[in-house]
Order: sequence, then C-alpha cells, then structure tokens
Amino acid sequence: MNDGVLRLEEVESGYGEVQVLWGISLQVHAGKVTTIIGANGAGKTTTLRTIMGSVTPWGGRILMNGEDITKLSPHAKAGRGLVLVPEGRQLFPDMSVEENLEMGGYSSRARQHLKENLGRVFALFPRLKERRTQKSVTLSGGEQQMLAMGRGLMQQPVVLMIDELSLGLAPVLAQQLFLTLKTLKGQGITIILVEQNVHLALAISDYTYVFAEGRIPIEGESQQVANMDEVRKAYLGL
Amino acid sequence: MTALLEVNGVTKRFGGLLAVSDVSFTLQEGEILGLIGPNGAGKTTLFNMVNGVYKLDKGTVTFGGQDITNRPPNEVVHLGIARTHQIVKPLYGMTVVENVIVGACFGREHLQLKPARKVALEVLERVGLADRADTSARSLTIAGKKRLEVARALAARPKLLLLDEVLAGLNPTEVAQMIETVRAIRDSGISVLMIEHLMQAIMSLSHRIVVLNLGAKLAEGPPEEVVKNPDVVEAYLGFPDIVDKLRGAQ
Repeated sequence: MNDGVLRLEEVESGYGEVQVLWGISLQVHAGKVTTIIGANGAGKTTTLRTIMGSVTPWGGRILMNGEDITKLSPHAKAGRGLVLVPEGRQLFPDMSVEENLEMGGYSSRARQHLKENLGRVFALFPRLKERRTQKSVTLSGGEQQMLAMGRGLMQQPVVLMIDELSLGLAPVLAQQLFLTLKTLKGQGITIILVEQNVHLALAISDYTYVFAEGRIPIEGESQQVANMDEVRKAYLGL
Repeated sequence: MTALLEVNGVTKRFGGLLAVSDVSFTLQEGEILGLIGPNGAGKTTLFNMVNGVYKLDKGTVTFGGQDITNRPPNEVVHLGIARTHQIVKPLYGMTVVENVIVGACFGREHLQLKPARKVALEVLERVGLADRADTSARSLTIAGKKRLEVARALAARPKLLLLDEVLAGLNPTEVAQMIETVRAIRDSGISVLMIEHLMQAIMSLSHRIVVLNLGAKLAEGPPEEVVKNPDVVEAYLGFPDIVDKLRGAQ
C-alpha cells in the first residue's frame, strides 16, 4: 500500500501550555497537491511548523518515505527535502534578491546544484531575475511572495509546504502564483498548501483536509469537499 | 451629500520612484469609498499622504472644507481622521481594552483615562471584542487583532475612518462579520475609505470604487461599472476562468 511521501499519525503539539493540535492524522501523496483549510486558530500553521520541526511535537509520529522523522531537527528535515515557505515570507530584508535565493540553496543537498537551481527559479519568475540585485525590502508584496517561493525552491524540495500563498495579494497576482504552483506540480513536486483563498486552493488541489479547533472533522478529494454544503457555507461564502 | 475629503492632484516620490502620481478623488459624507489596485499601486502610500505620515510633493488634501495638507498625523487624528494598519500593530504588553484606551486618549477628544476607558468599552462592544477586554492583546488571533485595530481607530471618535486591508487573513465567516461591522460603523455616521483586495467585500460595501495602478488613478465609479472596465480586469482582477485553468489537465 502506498502510505504517501509524508504521513502524520495522531500528532499533538502546541505552544507553552496551550495545546493546538489534538491528534492530527494525515497523508500526503507524492506529486499531489494537498490543501489544508480552516478557520484562524484551527492549527493549520502549527501543523506545518510541527512537520518542519520548528514547533516540537508533543505526541504522535511524523513519517517521511517510511522513515520516522518526528524528532529530527528542522535542518535535518530540510536536508531530506522538506521545505517550508513561511507565512509572512520572512525574507532577509537587506539582502539582494539573489542573495536571498542563495541562502535557500545552502544545504549540502542543494549547494552543488546552486547555479542550475538559480536558473530554474529565474525561469519560473523572470521578475526576480530582473530585480536580482535589488534589496528584497524594496520588492512589492507579490514579488516578495515570489522570492519566498523561489528561496524554497532553491532547496530542491521533495515536499514543498506553503503557508498562505496569496495573503495580501491582488487577485491577478494570486492567480499567477497559483498557476506557477500548477507548473511546479507538473514538475513532480509534492505540495502542501495552507490557504485562505479556498476557492483557488480547492481548484488546484487533489486532496483537502478541513481543520477545526486542532482536529480534522472533514477530509476528502478536493472536488468533493468543494461540493459539501458545510464547506460551501463556511469557506466559499455560497 | 457634501464632500468630506477632497484629494487634489497629490504626488509622492521616493527617490526615483513615483509612488503616487497626480491622484484626485472626493469622498462624500456618509460614503464608503473602496480603494483597490495591484500590490505596489500606491494605496497605502495614499493613506499615509492623507493622514500626514508622508509629506506631499504636490497637491492638496482638504477635510471638511479645511486644508489639512502636510499636517502631522497627531493633528490629523485630532481633526477626525483615524486609520488602521495593514500589518496589525497592537501594543503587545497591554490588554485589549488598554490598547483601545490609548486610541481614545490620543484621538479627536484627548480624553482622560476614566472617560477613555468608557469609550473603549463601548467601542469593544461594537466590534465584538467586549468579552476579550481584559486579555492580553498578544493572545488574540489574527481576526481578533484586526478587530482591535478597528476598535483602536474608532476610539479616536473619527469622522472618517481609513481601513487598510482589515479583511486580509480572515476566513469567510470572519469576513462576513467584519463586513457587518464596517456597515454598522458607516450607519453610525462615520465615513469610510477602505483599501481591500477581497472583491466580494468591496462590491457589497462600497458606494464607489477608485482603482489605482502604478501610482495613478486607473478608474473610478460604482462597483458594478468598475469591475467591467477592461483596464481594471487586465491590471487587477485577472482571469475570470482561473478555476478552470487550475483544474485543467497539466
């Protein structure tokens, strides 16, 4: 049986004394786009951080290609191709576009292909190439999101996790980034997407988990989830 | 209706970049005016020009018939223009109500602490945060923090409220609640100028929309007219068939 490239079993975590995730189980299959939707505070970002290891799991197991990676450090996970594009972009503001991208390509895994990866990122985002010497702080919101994605891609992701791809972006820019995501999917990258634009997220993804209060009450093929009454009402405004 | 805010030919340059170029528009009393446009179009810069954070290179801003061009922000809020910030900026060391008290103390009326607290509690009721009054501002979710931004601005007792993306990051249920809050604010007699990317919200709330692109005004008019404008579609709204494009075969 195909267990998926990434598998969470009854994962619990939180911050300080506050428990956020109450036994999350999910599977992410190779080459697919998996979407996580849900209200603010439902545990979406915490899930990505827990997978990445920047938040330590309290319980449960996280498996990548069958290997138990629950207790690995974030850099060890990054070394296995697990990549997080964080909410709010978290760029190095005083570094140039190209320097930000180089920082993404620093792991021993990706370093030897730095030139090649840089070429791929510039092919995907010609705008970043035009602005390669500019400090990242001077980029527009849409360009910053491109750079955050580009930095993630410099790590040669096996699993690319993106937290709020379209947040604060004009409709046309959000749409362009979603089309880029589709290109990446076509290249075989496995993607986990946390997204407020449920409309676009459901359209691009294969499988969807709906979070509520640190649990997953609803999951299914994205097309089916898009047709569920409770989802249409709560998340699509229909 | 009479003009509450008149922005005439305002221009702002940052070094070689023309951020806002010769923009003019009028906001009527009692109106909700939507301000939309691609990222980097100059929307937030325009807010900063209206409320005195940035000095204008050219043009004038008139509020309630009075020239307020280049008046500093503390005077502008005193005259009756309050704003929220796109990136929420609560005072993290304080409780929710204390944050709002700050808004009341430094608002239009410069209230003393006791009456400021009274105003703050009223305002928290209006934005639906009354039950969180004594919790730390830090502990609010993003939706709560957005409400706190609105509350703090309202506590200044403005005649005009500038809202900078108060819906960004909210889920549809929270968006619907915030839309109701904004509508109630307008109904209480406060005019609203709002920057927003969420078209369904802008469409349902605004009487008129101003579209900025590359620092200049691209279009202006009632929502249903503006969204049909081909220039606006190209610069801002994007592909109407996006869902099919995303779903389609690789």
